[in-house]
Amino acid sequence: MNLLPEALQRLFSRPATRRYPKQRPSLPPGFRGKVEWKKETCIFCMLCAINCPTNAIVVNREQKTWSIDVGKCIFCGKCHDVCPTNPKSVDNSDKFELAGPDKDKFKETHKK
Amino acid sequence: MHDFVLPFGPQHPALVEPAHIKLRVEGETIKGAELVLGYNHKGIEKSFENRPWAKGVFLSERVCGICGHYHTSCYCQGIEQMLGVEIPDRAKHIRTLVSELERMHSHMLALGLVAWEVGLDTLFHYIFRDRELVMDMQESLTGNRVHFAMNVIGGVRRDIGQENYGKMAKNLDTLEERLKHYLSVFRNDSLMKIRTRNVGHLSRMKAKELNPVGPNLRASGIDYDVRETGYLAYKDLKFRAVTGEGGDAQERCIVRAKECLESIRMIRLSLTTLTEIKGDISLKLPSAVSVKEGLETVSRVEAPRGELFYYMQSGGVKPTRVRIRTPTYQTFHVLEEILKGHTISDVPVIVASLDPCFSCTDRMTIIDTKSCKEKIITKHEILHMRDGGSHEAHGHGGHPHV
Repeated sequence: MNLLPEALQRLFSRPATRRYPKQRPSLPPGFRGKVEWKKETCIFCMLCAINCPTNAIVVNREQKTWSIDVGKCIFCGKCHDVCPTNPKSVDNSDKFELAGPDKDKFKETHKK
Repeated sequence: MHDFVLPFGPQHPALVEPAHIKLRVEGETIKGAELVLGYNHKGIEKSFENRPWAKGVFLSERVCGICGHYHTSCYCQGIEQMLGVEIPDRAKHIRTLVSELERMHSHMLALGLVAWEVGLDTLFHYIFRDRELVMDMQESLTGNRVHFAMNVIGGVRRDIGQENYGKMAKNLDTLEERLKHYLSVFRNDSLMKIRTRNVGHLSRMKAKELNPVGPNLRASGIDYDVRETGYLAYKDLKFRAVTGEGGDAQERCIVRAKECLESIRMIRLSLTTLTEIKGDISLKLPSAVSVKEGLETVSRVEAPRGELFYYMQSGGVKPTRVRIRTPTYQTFHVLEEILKGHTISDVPVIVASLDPCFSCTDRMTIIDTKSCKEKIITKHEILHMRDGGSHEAHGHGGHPHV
């Protein structure tokens, strides 16, 4: 019986859920989304690749490439923490819609 | 009347997680139960041995999706003990605050699931709606809704700024009011009373004998909580353990709801204390931490489901052995006792009221498909398993070799 007044009230109120994807969620500052790389500042020190807990990041110093496997990434933000450049060349963006049917598309390689 | 063995799980509409319970029934009445685990093995303990200490923090978080922060806290606490360092006060308070937030969301999840198993879907939806407030706070403080990656060896990674205080205070007020309401629903609602009162009763004597942990033990009237030892900032927050009397499914829910209220009190106090404590949030230890070879330690924290226990043995830059004893592993055998005498329809409610978490509990069983024989891998065999990490994948497709 305790729940009845509230249940009746809820009949006339709007749903608690958001109308996604029409209505976008507001992400808090510091949200850890997809890791993105800025080629302008990167010095190829390899620290992000060495410290990545899942080895998702691979850096090739000779060919000046930076690759990430988003399927392996656990969004911990360690790469951002260890990046020595200013401004940081590895950063968590607020992209979060990363699901997809093709596993190979999770692997990205960027060239300087 | 004949006895029948009724299989319940591992895939069962009324049981969310994969456990197999062999129920010996006589008609509708349960005469005995036998637990079979081993459907959700991930091989994390072995994977620890393949990676340096600092990377193990992120692995330990993946033991459980609901109480990941406790695993990292326990793991980091163990390493800090071995290194002989103490983390800054501010880091202690932030660790505690995030722990208590996580406890709230875990307990609210458990309460919602009990309501769902009882058949009170309305209550389930309301509790899960309000749980979102906790998830929002976690997201704004740590950056993620789950798997916060908040701990490092020697402190925490993010500071809690004043900008969060207003929203948090508002959310905590709403949550307090709602939880008090749910507490009265769990106590007085007629459907709740019929389905949970005197169901799955664990007496004080039996609880002492079987020795479960966490709210399941405290609901039987035994005051045992690791937080009372005053680790992290619990001493400053003047923590008081919540105990119950009945020991039935209803009492277990009431204890969880009361613990959430206690968590809210501690979070509020912690937020005020954080304004006074200045200083670093981390000791800034090098990422390649090395612990003296051969050292071993035992570390424990109070997770939402009870005492979480880590044993670690150092091999220099990597551990040589990490043993995790999770709360559900210590609690779930109680089921064999408390199911006796109840009917089959009570099984989901009793299981949900224990709030089991299998992703951290399961150990490996090998079944030979030719002879249909089961074999449990011993510790000795695990230690001598050559290239052990290669076949053990964990969530998110992590790479086992470092």
